[in-house]
Amino acid sequence: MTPEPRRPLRPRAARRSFAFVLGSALVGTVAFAALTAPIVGPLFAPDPYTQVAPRDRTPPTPPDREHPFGTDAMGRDLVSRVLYGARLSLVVAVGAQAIALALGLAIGAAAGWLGGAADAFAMRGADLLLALPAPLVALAVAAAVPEPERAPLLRLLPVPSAGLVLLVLAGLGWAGIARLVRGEIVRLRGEAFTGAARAAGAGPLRIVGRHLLPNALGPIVVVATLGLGGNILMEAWLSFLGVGARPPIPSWGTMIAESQIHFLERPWAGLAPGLAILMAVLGFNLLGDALRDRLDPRSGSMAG
Amino acid sequence: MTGYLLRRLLGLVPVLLAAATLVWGLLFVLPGDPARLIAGARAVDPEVVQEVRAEWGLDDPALVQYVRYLGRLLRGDLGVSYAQGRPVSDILGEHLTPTLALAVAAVAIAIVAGIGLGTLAAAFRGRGFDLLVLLLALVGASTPVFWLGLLLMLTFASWLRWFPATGYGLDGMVLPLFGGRLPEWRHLALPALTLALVLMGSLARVTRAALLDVAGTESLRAARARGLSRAGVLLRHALRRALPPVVTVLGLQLAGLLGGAVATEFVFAWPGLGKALVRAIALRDLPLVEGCVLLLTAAYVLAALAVDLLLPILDPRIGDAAGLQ
Amino acid sequence: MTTAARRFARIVLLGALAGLPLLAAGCGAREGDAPAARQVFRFRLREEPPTLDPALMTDNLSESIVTNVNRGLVAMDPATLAVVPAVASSWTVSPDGLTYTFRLRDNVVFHNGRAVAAEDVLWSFQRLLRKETHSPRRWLLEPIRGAADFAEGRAAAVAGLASPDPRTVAVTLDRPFAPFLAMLTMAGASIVPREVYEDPEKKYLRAPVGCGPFRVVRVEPASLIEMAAFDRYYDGRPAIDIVQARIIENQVTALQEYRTGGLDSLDEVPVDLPDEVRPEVLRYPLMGVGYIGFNLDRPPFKGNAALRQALNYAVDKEYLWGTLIPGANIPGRGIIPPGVPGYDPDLPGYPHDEAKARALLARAGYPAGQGLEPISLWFNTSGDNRRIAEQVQADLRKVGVTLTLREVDWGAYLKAVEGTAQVPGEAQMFRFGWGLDYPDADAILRPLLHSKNIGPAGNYFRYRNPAFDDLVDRALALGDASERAALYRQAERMAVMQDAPWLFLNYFGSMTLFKPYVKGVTPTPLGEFRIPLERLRIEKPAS
Repeated sequence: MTPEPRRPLRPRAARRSFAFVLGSALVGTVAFAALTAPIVGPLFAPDPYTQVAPRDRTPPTPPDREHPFGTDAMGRDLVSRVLYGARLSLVVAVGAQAIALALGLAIGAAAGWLGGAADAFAMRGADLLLALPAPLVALAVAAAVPEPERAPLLRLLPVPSAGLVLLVLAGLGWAGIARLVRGEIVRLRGEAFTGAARAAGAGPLRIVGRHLLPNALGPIVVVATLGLGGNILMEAWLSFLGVGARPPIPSWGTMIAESQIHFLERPWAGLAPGLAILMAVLGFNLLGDALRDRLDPRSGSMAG
Repeated sequence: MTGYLLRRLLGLVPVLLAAATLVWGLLFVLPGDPARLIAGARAVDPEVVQEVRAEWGLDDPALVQYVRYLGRLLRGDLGVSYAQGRPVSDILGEHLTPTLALAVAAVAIAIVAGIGLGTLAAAFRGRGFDLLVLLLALVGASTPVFWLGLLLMLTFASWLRWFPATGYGLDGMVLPLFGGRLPEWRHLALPALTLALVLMGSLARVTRAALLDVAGTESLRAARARGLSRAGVLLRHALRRALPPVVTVLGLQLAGLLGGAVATEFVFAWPGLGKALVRAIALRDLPLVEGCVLLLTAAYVLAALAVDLLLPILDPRIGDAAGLQ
Repeated sequence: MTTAARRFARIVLLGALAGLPLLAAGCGAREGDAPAARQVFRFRLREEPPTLDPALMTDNLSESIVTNVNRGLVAMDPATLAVVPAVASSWTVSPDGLTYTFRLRDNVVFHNGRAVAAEDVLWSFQRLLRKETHSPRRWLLEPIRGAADFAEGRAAAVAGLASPDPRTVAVTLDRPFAPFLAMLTMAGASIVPREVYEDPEKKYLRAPVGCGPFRVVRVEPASLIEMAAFDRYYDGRPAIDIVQARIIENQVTALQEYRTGGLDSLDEVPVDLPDEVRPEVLRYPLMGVGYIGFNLDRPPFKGNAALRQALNYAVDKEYLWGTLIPGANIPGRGIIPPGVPGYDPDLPGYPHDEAKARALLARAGYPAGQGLEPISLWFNTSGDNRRIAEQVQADLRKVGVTLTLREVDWGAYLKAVEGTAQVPGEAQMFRFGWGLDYPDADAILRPLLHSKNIGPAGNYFRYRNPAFDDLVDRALALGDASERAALYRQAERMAVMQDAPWLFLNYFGSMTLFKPYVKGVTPTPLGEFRIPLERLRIEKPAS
């Protein structure tokens, strides 16, 4: 067997990088919050929908011992809602990215390997999609469904409005990944080990799947990680504008929108979810940056 | 040169076509009768629905409708907003100036502040500027714009009372030929600052990187030999080096700028295309949604093209695809 | 490109980019600064009014402009609610109660300078009745003899309308109609100039012309409507020179504008009132009622009174108006608000009772909400509406009913709610309010719940109850006030306790902010936008 160039995924140097550590810590915190929401949440409120503010005080009520983040404009506990918001953000972001990855890998690899008309067609499509401004497309498509809870397919999902956002983000995300994968496959297609594998009788799927893609993983991981941060921001943006997760679903974006009325006098209801978004996205951006420095030196980061 | 320009402009056509097709396609992919969707809230009146059906020729085969739709677009006919009862193109015209003013101001502030900060960071290495720039870039890229806008409103409009919280101002200058009215600068400050803050970090970061590259090169040493001060040298020669990556980064951030502008307009009640789009969506005013999306997309692709064309001018070393210098 | 040219291009580019923010500087005064000695009154509108045409106006946003620009034969005194002369200086009623003869003033002039004559009255009334106008307030003039024939196109003129001479208008009714004069005070009956309102291009939508104390001088779409005092107003030029209606959607930022001096009055007073502003709140009851309407022609409310009653019991109105949105509103039990003859203080209504709600839900066929699809609750954009909707959503969730919220702008909202006379609107539940235009129970029971008014005329719920119709019709023909009140109470009890066409929420009160230098403010139960602007004056120390 011809030795293949392999790039390790987690070299020691990366672990020592500050960005990597901080990024991982932030992402880890958010993930932990999302996972433990059903356990930690009930310590503050039975669920993120129940109004727990005292019935004689006009909400939002300020932070106190019982409700460390205070309550929102409807008297619901904010700790619980921020935790469940983490859940929603991560599920949507990761879910969308997973679908986008699946699609992007499949289409990109096929285009890169097959070449010719299939390649041209697929890449033309991806280019067109990439040439369009993603936020506008997302807004237009999400807005086309005014009541996801009553829409044909979406109503079958557990949280229809969030499911809509997930699908929209996935539909936008595959193009960049496909382009990237296709580029890598084309590049690696010409390498020596590919010819050797082919001579050894391996079929295209095996070659692509076992030999080419693993070598392309570096840049893909970077793009996927950075894309997660982007997905979280987009979900929040769509929810804020009213076309993403609908009230009373606890989405960070919706929570900020709901806090606007009181924001100048009682800002805590808007501060907590905003900081949460900042933390989560910063975490993924740091992680992505750090990974890029190690895994994809070719792309030349902007760091000085 | 002209030929090249034309070819690049032609290259925009498929993209715009794709956007127009997407917007048109949504009408037909959506469940429900397209005539009712277009009529929006007025769809309860069967007379109106009939009117729409006739006017848009919705009984014809899809291909015929598509071609007719494209024809209308080419003529500049974007249809009538049934929610407002006026031609969409009129409405878009009214909302164009505020968005342009906001975008231009935000980009200008971001460039000036970003290059400025980056230059300082490069000139005074290791004195905390480095960290500041890095932090600004990262936080700027990770903060939701609408939240930042609310924070700025809280701080500068509510606590400090330096700026008005929202609005456009009624006494701005009217532009001579175009006819649009400019905002009052006090109203422009916070929204523009919000957008600029998100951008300027990464601009500072690349400026710093570009300038540090330069620090050790021949041209710099030669200039110093000629007796210019350190800062002066950096400023003159280095700025030339900084602009290309700054413009590149701007080009990459255009989509984010667009999304940010929509959210910012919403938060600050800025009467621009973004706010019109969000309202149109709430109203299910599909012709106006279409119009806004198309116009904003066209602006976006033109801006991206401009960036592409600008780069070889700014930096002779960057050859473009045509190999033009 | 040569190196020199490239360098030049770069310099120009940099210069342009740096200079643009400077160019954007507005060089005018802030809109808050009025030129010295000019009295400017600035109030806020939540949105652009859907229309400035008095014949099409049905909402209080449009009302804020229309009632200042227009006048009819008679007007309603905002404080006493009595009918007072306007374009007509006096009138007589025939002994049989059928003919009203109005004598017009000599000095009424339209904003375009033309004097108002009797034929203008006739033309304006005809316009309101004409089918092509599509006026939802056509019913104001329906009691006039021959009105229906004219509206349907069977007659070329209205039989009951005559002008024996250019200063006199005689209106003859089909039958005696006690509230007729009060109805003539409403905006739909305004006198408008034919030459302006006949315009096929409808320019009057942006530049309306009437004979009221103010005339529209500037309309900036979605931003501002500016009115100026009309020098030749028959009652004397108003003290205020300029009125600006500033359109500010966001309630919070509107408060900011008020605090920083950009507004002189604010309609929507948020819960969090800064202390310095608290003494400037004017609190007064309104002749109105707030509710969430059920669309009785669509599932799931069609034919299911138990469901409607269940939802009524499920909502905690005391919490809503006592704690969540404390203000001038009080929890409501029925349809006729306090202060209007016919109001029933003993009407039980639907106090908050979750157990009863669950029981009725089961009786309705949806035990614990099972089998009930999510229901859409529509409301128009306003800070309070959203919170009301969310609170109702939360309360209903507790008994197992899921609501999806649809928030839209006022214009679209009206369309989704009103439907047409034949087709029900899209909204299943919708937040609404109704301010009475005159203190008569007929002013609410008839337009909202009489089966003749199904559709945009006012009965958006499409409530059909012949027994109810009959009670209301009989009460209208009676002369004795207490007899009428008894019938109205009966009708109300039937509608409220049996049929529950609404989710009853509140009786309206208003809280409006006024700067201390605004004098002459007359609070009126007719609504915050009916406070007469022509009686205001600004007494500011010279700025």
